[in-house]
Amino acid sequence: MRYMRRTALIIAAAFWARDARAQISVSGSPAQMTVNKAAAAGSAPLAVTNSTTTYTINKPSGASSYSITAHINIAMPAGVTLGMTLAAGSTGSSSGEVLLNTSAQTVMTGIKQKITGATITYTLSATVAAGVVPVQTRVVTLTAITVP
Amino acid sequence: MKTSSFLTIGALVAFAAVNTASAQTATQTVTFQVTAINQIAVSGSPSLVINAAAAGSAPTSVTASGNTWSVTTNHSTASITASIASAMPAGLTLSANLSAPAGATSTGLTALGVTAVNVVTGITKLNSAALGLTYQLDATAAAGVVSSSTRVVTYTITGGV
Repeated sequence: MRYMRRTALIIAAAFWARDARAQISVSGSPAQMTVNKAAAAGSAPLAVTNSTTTYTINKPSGASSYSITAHINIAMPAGVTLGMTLAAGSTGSSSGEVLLNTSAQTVMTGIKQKITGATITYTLSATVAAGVVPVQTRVVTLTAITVP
Repeated sequence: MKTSSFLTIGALVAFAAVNTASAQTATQTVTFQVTAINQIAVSGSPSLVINAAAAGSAPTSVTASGNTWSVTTNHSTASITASIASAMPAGLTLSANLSAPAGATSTGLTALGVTAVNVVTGITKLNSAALGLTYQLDATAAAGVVSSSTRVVTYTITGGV
């Protein structure tokens, strides 16, 4: 009987631990973004944005909250920047637009409730000094971190 | 048996602690590109009238300043050419003088014809607005009286790499 009680406690602890694990997912990858014009002759090239993808993160358990960091696998070409903005949804605080690089940067903090289908906005900007940049890809990694 | 149960509990609690501290990731692939950008614009619609001369001299040339041009290019060593759609009347010459943006070279006052000619060269990866643009109209006495006429001047950014 004592052994069964202990077993039940162990199973409960295991489930609690599983619930506490940050689970983040995205709806897919954005379509190709292309900088191809200036707003007017004499102006810098016009940035382009994509807000078609979303992210979902589960609710933290207990008193903990989640933060989200983002980084890319390879640095952007000189003169080209990739910005990311995560919409806060009903909880958390967005860092606003963060220019991505190979070091993880915080894009969202204080997530205490589940966020479902909140918008991810990417902004691609280029200076004229960047020149012509052929098609390239970058893998953006979003990491959900539990904050005790 | 009792010792074994405590060890099992200890191991699972440790597992739970590891899980609590863990993070999960999601990835997206972002595809991007910057294509060639070559844009030029001009402002102003100049009007030039030759109506005087010093006695004994050729008709006095006139200029129209206050016009501007702007350029954006992400190419190197681009040039600006200019041309007019139809030739000027005999004895009349229409010229343009474009101020060069930083690092580029203006050809100075350049007569315009139906064949495109360089007016600025060596434009490299820049955006620059409201650069000076001046027109000049010259006439010889042989041109006689020429009724009001217009010419469309076409500027083209070309040749960059």
